[in-house]
Amino acid sequence: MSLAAWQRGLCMLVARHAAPDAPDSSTSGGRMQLGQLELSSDERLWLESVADAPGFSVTCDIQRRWRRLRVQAGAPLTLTALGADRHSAVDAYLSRVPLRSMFVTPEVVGFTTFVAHESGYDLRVRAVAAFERALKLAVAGRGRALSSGRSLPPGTVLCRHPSAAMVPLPCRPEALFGALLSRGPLPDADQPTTVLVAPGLATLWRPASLAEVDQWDAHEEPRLSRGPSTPVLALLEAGALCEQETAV
Amino acid sequence: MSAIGSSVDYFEISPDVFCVDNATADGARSLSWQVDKLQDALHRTADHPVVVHGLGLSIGSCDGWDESYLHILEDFARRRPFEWHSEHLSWVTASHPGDTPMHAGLALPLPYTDEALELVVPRAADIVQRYGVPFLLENVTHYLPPLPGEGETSPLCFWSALCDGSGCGILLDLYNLYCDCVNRSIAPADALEEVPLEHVVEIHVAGGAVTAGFLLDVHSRPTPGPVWEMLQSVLPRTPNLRGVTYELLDEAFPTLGLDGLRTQLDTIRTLTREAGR
Repeated sequence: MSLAAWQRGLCMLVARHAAPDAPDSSTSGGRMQLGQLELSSDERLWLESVADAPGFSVTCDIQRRWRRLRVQAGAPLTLTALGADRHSAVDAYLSRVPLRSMFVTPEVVGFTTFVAHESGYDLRVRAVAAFERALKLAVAGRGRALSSGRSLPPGTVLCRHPSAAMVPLPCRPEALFGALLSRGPLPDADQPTTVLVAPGLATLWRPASLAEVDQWDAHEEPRLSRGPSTPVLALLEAGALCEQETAV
Repeated sequence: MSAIGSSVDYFEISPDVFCVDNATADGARSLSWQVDKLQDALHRTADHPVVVHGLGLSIGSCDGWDESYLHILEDFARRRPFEWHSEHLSWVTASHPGDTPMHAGLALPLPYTDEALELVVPRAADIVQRYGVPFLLENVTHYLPPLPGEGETSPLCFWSALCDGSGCGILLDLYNLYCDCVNRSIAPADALEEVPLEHVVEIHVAGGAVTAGFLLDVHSRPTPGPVWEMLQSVLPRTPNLRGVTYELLDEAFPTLGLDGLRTQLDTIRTLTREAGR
């Protein structure tokens, strides 16, 4: 028996059939192509027929159900912003983005990234998704070391903290988040504001100043500190920038 | 936990639950602690011994187990020594041809074959050596048709060879075994005959729900009567048993309630006392 090939084949089948838009396994188009796997004849026969077994549907449904639960539990802002599109958005995500982990954070980051990059959604919805993604990463990053600007030795290289982000919003954050909390209509996209989301902020986010946005942009690549300026110090205190070795 | 502290002898902790998975698109992953949650759990369980029950090791994956889980386990052991630890005899990941990692999203079974033994025995032996406390593997349930190669080795021979070859013990999940019995029309007594009970160190009981005609392993309900009967049956025959654990999902606690949880724990206590344990 070639256990490794059988595991690969079964994992491929589960991934394919767990997608909400999975093709009908009874059609030739819905049959998984297993030719590339080095399977015994028993294994090949088993994998070719397993998709028709009721227990296989249950197996795939378990994966799908847990993925939905993780998205529902971890992405309330994005789902609220999506409104009537929420179910189709989750289905599209499950169909197009393979499962990477059984943990909540990677699933929520995957879903919010998907919505933030999907041009078919309203700009405000995409911004909310980008914001929620940044929040999730900032929370996850709270366990990592942060550095402060109090005494940076000469020659320190600063870089962006991997759990921090600058998120452009198309409207005032208070108006946007107020609408989400009250489940009211999203405000007009007429007051662009950039917010800083970082693990060192007590509330995880705050509006960013133009000078901070400039410094964030300037640190797209790690950069030698020449005596931190006020905005750089503010970004260090927020945990948005850090010493390069801290970021690893 | 404080409300049931007097009803239990130990708490079972899954370190994975207190972690964040820093997974990347290429599948590389590393677990890091959600420090607040971990500290809270350690504080709440400070007055009791703990045992560890892992979820993500994937000891049966041919393409490699999850090293990040072992790193977390090592760190956890430094923070809180544990009496024993356990994992599932299963696999959750495989590599796509071309080495793209794939995740099944649930514990999938290993067939009872020599090839599976050759894979798992050295891994389990390594873990037994590494931590110096008993390491147990749990029987999982599944909903698939009989696996290819099934029948090559009986469950009894497989589990005996696994335990003898690696030094690991068995975490006998009676609810999982009961799911197998219901879903495949096996008599519970026959299923228990296929377990080398002398290797059982811990027992799990739980309850779940039926979906699409299958009894599922979801830890959402009180333990069903037949599982209590199975527990009664095995208690006198498990000389190395050290604990019986009731499993319940966080999300199911509001439905069961504190009184319901106490009833489960009291039933375990009563049955173990009746068996002279």
